[in-house]
Amino acid sequence: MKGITYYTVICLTFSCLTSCDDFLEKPVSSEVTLDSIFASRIRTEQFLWNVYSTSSIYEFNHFWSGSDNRFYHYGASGSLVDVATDALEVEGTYPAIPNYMHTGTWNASNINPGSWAIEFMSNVCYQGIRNCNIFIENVHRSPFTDDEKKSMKAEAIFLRALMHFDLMQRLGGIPIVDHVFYVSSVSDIDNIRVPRSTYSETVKFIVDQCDTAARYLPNVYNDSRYLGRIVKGAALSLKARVLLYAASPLFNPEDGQPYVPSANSTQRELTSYGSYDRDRWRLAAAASKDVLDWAENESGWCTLYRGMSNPVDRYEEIFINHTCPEVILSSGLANVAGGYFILFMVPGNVSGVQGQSNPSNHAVTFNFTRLYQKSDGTEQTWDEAEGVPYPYSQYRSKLAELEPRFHASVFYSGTEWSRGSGKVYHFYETNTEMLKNVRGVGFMRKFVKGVRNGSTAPRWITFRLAEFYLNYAEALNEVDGDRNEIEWAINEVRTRVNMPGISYVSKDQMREAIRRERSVELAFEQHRFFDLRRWKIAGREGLMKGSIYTLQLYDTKPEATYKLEVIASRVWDDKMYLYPFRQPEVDKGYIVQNPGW
Amino acid sequence: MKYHKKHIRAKFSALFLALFIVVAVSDKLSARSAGGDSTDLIDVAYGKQERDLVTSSIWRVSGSDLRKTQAATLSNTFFGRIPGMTTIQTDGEPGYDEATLYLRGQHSFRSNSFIILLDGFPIDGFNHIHSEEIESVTYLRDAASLAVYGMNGANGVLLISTKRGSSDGDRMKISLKARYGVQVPTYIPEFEGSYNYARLYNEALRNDGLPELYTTQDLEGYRNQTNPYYYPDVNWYDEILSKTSSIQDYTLSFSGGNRYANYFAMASLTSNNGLYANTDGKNNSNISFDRINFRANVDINITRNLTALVGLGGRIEDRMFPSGRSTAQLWQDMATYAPNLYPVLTPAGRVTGTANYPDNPLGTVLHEGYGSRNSRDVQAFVTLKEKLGFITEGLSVFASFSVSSSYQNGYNKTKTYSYHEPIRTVSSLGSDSMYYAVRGADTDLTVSTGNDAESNRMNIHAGIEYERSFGKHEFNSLLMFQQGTRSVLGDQSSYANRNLLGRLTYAHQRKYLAELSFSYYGTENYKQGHRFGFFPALSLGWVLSEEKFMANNFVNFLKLRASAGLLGSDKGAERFAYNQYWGTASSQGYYFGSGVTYSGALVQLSLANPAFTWEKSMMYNLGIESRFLSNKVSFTADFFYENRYDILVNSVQTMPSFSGIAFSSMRNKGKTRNYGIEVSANYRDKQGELTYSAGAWISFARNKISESYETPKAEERRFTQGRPMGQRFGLEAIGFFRDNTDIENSPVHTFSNVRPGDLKYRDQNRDGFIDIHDEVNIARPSVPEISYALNLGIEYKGFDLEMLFDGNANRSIYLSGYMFWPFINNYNVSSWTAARRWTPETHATASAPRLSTIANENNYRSSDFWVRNLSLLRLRNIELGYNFTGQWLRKLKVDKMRLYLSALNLFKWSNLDAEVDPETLSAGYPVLKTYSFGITLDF
Repeated sequence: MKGITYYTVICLTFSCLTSCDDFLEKPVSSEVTLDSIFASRIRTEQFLWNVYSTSSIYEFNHFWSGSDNRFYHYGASGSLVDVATDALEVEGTYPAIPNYMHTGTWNASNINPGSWAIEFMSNVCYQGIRNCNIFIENVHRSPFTDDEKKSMKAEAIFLRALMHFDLMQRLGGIPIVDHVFYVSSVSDIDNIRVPRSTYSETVKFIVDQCDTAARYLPNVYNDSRYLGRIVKGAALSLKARVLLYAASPLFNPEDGQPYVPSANSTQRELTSYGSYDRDRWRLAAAASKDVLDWAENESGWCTLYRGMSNPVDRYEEIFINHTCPEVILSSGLANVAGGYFILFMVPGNVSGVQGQSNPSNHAVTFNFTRLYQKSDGTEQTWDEAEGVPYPYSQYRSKLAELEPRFHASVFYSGTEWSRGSGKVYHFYETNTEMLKNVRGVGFMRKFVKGVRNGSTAPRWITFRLAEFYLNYAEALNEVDGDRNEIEWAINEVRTRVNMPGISYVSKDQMREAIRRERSVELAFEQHRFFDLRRWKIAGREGLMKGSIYTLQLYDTKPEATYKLEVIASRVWDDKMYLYPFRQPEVDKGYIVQNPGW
Repeated sequence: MKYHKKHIRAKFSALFLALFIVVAVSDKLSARSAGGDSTDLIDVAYGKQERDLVTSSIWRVSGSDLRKTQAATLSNTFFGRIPGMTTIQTDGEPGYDEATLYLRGQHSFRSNSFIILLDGFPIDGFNHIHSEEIESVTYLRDAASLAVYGMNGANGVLLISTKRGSSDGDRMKISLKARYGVQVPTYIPEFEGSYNYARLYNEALRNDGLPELYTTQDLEGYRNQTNPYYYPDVNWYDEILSKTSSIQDYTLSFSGGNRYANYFAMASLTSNNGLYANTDGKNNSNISFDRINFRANVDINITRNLTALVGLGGRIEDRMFPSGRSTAQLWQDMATYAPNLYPVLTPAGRVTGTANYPDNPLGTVLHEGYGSRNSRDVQAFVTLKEKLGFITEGLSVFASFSVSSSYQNGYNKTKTYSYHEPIRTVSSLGSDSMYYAVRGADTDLTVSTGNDAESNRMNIHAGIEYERSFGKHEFNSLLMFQQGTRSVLGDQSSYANRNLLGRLTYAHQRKYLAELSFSYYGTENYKQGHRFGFFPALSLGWVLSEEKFMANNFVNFLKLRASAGLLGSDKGAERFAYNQYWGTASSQGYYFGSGVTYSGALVQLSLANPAFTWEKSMMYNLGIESRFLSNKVSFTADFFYENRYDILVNSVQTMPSFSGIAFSSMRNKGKTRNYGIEVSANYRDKQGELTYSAGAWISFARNKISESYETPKAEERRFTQGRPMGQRFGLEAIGFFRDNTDIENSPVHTFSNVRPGDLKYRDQNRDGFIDIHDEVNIARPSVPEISYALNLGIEYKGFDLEMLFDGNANRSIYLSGYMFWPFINNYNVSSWTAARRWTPETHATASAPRLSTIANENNYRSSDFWVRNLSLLRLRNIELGYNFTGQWLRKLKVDKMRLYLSALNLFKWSNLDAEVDPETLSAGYPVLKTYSFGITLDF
């Protein structure tokens, strides 16, 4: 009898337990899904900030905290990319360019082996592009007005174009990704093996996207919190820069020949137009003029900065003052990146702040110093013989005579670090500040005017108006445009820093003048690294190849002296005009590698 | 800890069930003596089977065998006892010294973790169950024994059974055991003193083309040691460590029974101390581990047909340690701080330090307070069994309910101290002088708590058993339902599983055996409709010794058996991975505006895996069991082959990077194979009063990744696919650069600028450059493929001696880090490295690269130069005991008294040339040798 009772109980228990249908159900918890993102204004915006965060251009790659580097794909490890050019040398533990690019040992395997990069992470660019595509395909569901949606979508379209340009300027024609790749099973992978587009197709894609974005982007955001958000001028600027690059000798060669002999016609079309067309310069000129016209007539705020009475202060202000009206688009360096940016850019221990133990000591070379004229527009006399001592006073006076932009950009011996502080450093006698080991004429001070470690980082400038005067002048000169117009464009930039104007003599003379002006005006701003390539002159002695000179100081008695010395020798190979695709990508079998790699 | 309502409901339903039954039957308490278990029964999943009729591969080790090894941590008693289990000792820190266990090698490159069941119920940690409470540990090895565990089965299962009382003799047995042990490190590495350190540092600087740091005067100062404050020469091990540490263990147990009930109860105290000298336990603390275990197991015969089994066990664990630095870090500091860094104390007795090295090891141990971790574990179950003979003979039902709870918190008493930085100057008279700058401040002890952890489990079993013989036919069957939950502090969702399992065993004339078992198993982690899997297994056995043609005196028993089945593993998977989640990720966001106006961002996390499922394993096993020569010799062998598939792989690795997936995209696509063999033999005989025994076993397991979905590589030799799990890749070293001419004539070594004395590598692809494309597979797997053991025993006139050897082979270890790479980060230089270094004079005989003060990217990277194939044998345990007998004992009411001496880890032999412990490579707290003295009194 009892047994039957027991048996019954067990049966009842069974049925009770098995009837609890939700036993294995996933409990309710706080999780975000795609639907919940685009159902909310705040979350839609948060996703747009993700698009920004993964698709914006930062010069500075900070590979410093394992979890932080995921979305900072731009720039070199521990230094500015211009360290690879004749402009800069560095001395420090972290910069990767000296070990790889200066020695010519960079290649498809070590450029970005996965978790870090010598310079640039193409795979991470595509992560940004994916975010752009997700946003573009879903923003229509969000609870914004139609106009707001169009404008926000245009921001993502612009950023997607910017990422494609970012890839194109290093790699040539690239796989164009204009929609989200859905990969729900391994067999889907075959469907996303998109081949590289030709250079011409890639340019066309970016330009079309810029045109689309420009149609819907606002000229200004009337909320100062949104400084750094994309305006119409940014889309026009990107288009202008893309067309200028596309018209340049590397991609638009007058002889139709590629930068490295290649019998493979596919490879030629992937890396350039493969033929010359003068009309490309005309398009570039028109696009740059559009930027200038937008600033003048449409923006209501964008203009060359002409404040401050002292031209040195004036030029410096562009990079220090976050609200300078010359800046069309800038990116806020994230806190960590910003902190490291200052840490690496400030030379030696000059700020006297504990913990600044590993600066990169960006030094401006003598090769580059020679590009600066004297304040009166004439040439400085550089007649030093190599290895011969000259008095320190001569070093100081010669450099002091150089033009305002030199003083705003270079911290050389015998001057203050923090201008106006009265504290002068003679590098050869610095013990605590450790400025002795300078690998150039002086240290770079642009971007970090006398700042101390830990202070607010500058915003990295992607586009500023001065570039488009120079782009315009360069392109117009190539199509034999109006001389007065060319002179006007270049001299707008020069006169802004109180430099005398330049007159047109010949197309070749003007080309050299414009290139030189561009080097000086846009120094260290991530232009020269690409300009020397697109002009197809990187391999010339003293540019990205060969000897780098310095004026080396010696603590001799009774007076200190300096000597012209070779500080470094650089290796260059013409294949380096374009980067290699990462080896793991090539190994996956869908990428045609660039020639020579 | 908050419970979800349904958990409470489930708990209550089980509790009511138990109560109802107790009430329902209490009026009919007519107790009957339960039959004692035959020793021939061994544990199988959710039951017991007669050993000779088992058709699956199972290895049982008795608690009494485990107790021969005197170790505080249970897994440390497994060494050499269980064929198929590989045991590796990687740490000796009291309370944290558990062995790393591998069951039949490695199965999956995702996770090899396995479950441990205590009396049939899952538990969180088994290492601190006391060996005195254990009846047996059983390792279930093949599909036939594991199938009923469903997704928990594929990586193997360990069953731990606790002791239960018996009514033999109808009298209480009391046992008191006490043991005291002295522990010493197996190996403390040797480093150079200050004079040699300075000399070698200068040599390293010269090698790097840098100016020397130490002057002749410095070197002389280090050599003659007349001014030890100015020229310190410190061996940190000597300053911090005592020669020995103690371990103690006391156990009191009671067992007995009568026709109403059987019981076993025990309580024990274990105390294991660390090696730090001069600690007081108040302002600072040695490492210490104190543990109390208790257990009460009762079997109540409620009626003739109804039995209740109750098990209650628990433990309190208290650990203390210096809190300033982690143990691993402190041992690294002791090893790496240069001998001339600073004197241990100032002449005034204050702790020294510098800005770069503020953590004077003496200050860490004595002046920064202590931390502690206190954990409490309790596990309890009730099982009711009723025989339903009135329905049909052999039918019974059972129901069980179990709870377990683990809780841990940390209590730290910490402070800081001011350290005194030695500043060296030259006095006005030109002689050496120094003063001490005070840095930091002394603070009082501050209390902080934290490190909370909690886990609660609840389990219900209910089922029917049917066991009966019909003439030549014997049936044994089980159908059972199991469900369990586990909630962990901090997790949003608890874990839950359900399992309907069954087993049908058939024996014909005890000669032909067959067993079919299955599990229909589901967990909360998979998508609705895809939650349950079916896992069947079939096994067959043939007892040849029962056949007439085998009837002879030589063979006493011979059985062949075979099994095959499908198992699952849900280990190592992300939770709810079939859903696509979005969330915030580190540093994701954007700075707008001129200040630091940070705008947080939402990102797409790992890509959803719509077909998310568990790993599957087809497992095959062939076995033979035999006994010969009047059962004096026994021999067992098993061969297994496993095909594992649906292992999660990250498909991003094979995808074009422009898919742009930032996190992972996991897919069930990986495959592995694993096969191996276990052979064991035992011999036991007696000649007069001399009894002797010998046993040995060897096991081998080898695996191969057959589908890896790894990033394609141009060179086949760099693939993990087709190679064992944990395969190391690296360059092939072909010697040292002799001189600059040699460097010029060799391929360009791209990792750093090489100098004479640096490692020279083979250019595998002959492209003139040494880079990662020249990497090859350079070693064996890191997990030993072979494990083996040998034990020998002799008993003579009350004396007994047991020796246990165990070892492993076919594995590679990788020498890296501060023991082998001197001067990086100003690390010390080991005597081993110093003696072997390359110099222009010793270039022909050197066996370590030149010294260098920089992180030499060329030398200190994965290459076969730093790989060693390791074979290891140790005398794991030796014990000599004497059993006292005689009238005097009886007068003291003592049945039996035994005194013994034992030594653990007495000798270790290996083919490793480096002077470090071959298992830990002397990183972290050392492995210990223990010399114990013990007494056992049975009343």
